[in-house]
Amino acid sequence: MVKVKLFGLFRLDTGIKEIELKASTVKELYPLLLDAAKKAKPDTKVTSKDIDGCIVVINGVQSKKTSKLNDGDEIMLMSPVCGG
Amino acid sequence: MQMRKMLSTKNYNYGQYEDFEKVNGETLAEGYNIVNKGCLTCPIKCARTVRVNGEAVKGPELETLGLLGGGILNNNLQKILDWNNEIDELGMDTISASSTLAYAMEANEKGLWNNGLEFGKIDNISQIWEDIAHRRGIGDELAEGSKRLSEKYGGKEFAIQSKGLELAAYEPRRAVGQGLGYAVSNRGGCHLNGGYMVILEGLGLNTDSQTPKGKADFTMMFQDLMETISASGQCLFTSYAFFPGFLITRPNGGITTTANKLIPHLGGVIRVMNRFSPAIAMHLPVFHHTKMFKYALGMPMTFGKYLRIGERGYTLERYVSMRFGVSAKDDTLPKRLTHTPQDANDPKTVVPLEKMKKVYYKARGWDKDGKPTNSTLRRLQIVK
Repeated sequence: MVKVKLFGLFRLDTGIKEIELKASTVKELYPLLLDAAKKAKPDTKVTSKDIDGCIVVINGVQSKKTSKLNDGDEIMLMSPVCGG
Repeated sequence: MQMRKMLSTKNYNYGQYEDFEKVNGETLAEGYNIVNKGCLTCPIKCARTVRVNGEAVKGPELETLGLLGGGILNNNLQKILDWNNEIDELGMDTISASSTLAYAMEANEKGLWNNGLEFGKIDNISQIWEDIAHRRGIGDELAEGSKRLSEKYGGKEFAIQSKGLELAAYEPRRAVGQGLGYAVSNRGGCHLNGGYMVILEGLGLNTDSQTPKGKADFTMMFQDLMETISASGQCLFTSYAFFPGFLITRPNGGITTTANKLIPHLGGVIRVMNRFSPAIAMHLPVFHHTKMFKYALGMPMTFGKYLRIGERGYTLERYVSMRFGVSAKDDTLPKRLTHTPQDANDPKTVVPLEKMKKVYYKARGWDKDGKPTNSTLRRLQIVK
């Protein structure tokens, strides 16, 4: 199992701050996250494109969607833009 | 910012704050924000409304969250909302107030100034804002700002300011182009007047944030663009539209990845665009500000002309500052940012300021002392 922390639209729209999922690559997480979003909020605004557009961070290091995951990893899916 | 180690923490000692999730935007939105407000019809709605003492008031901006959060090791978000409101009501700037406070805390910690202020100790802070505004007690000293305080008590290397203006929450050792902007900005250490290079270095795109390559020329272009946006009363937040949307929303895509790799090598191209900007007689497909000029004012406008207006304004400001004695010696950053690597194991995590300044002055047509040359002033029709 890996722990996924969520930010931006995903978190604000679905209310999910973090979730534990089973996957061996980041890419495998995406459909699982979309299912979780729909389960938490059936009319969620989150789409697969939104999830695919997030910046992926594994254990504090920016990674790719093809990156492999190990049991106990902490993944953060960050909004692609911020500032002020 | 947290992820990219560019979140000013403990007066810029570090770039990450372990409690950042307690004081970040999501936590604000979930637990404290009542409604986002903006100008009529604006889809951005940059203003937050929060509750302080039972009243709905303006909420903090990003810089305030950063500097009154990790900047002083405070993980109490409600306190930030309270202080933001108090500082606003007192007519002070939250960036300068919080960064000066952080300097004072570090000066106390290092034994330079026994003032009772400590990182993470937040009980007496509200009183301090009042005291600064009314110049009472320790507030009378803090009202001088970090530059003058460091001249009195020492610790210039950690007075995080440039030309007397305290820097925003972006840690430039992880965004060196932003560091150049802070240093050469006409306004002093301002993230916006500096050109906001951090948008390329991690906030929107993800170019190499440590390389000085290409940064000077992009800094000039962004400064000039933002100069015109500000001068014309347009909104700086909309300047994100300079970038095609897919570059921002597809950070993992092939085109964005290629753009990130290419950008540091485009300095020469940007130099030519800056120098011969009037020749760019077109509108950019995604940057609608130039068309707004035309439609709202009937003024013929192109992207190149828009850039040139900004360049002229920026250089004119510099020319005036120059006559008051400003030169390269003032385009500085505190030594913590230029000489102390953020990561002790990675010597690249400093701002290579002098290297970038030379290229920047050349790009702008200023001499080695940072003064606009006569030919530049004539080219921009500032002098005859």
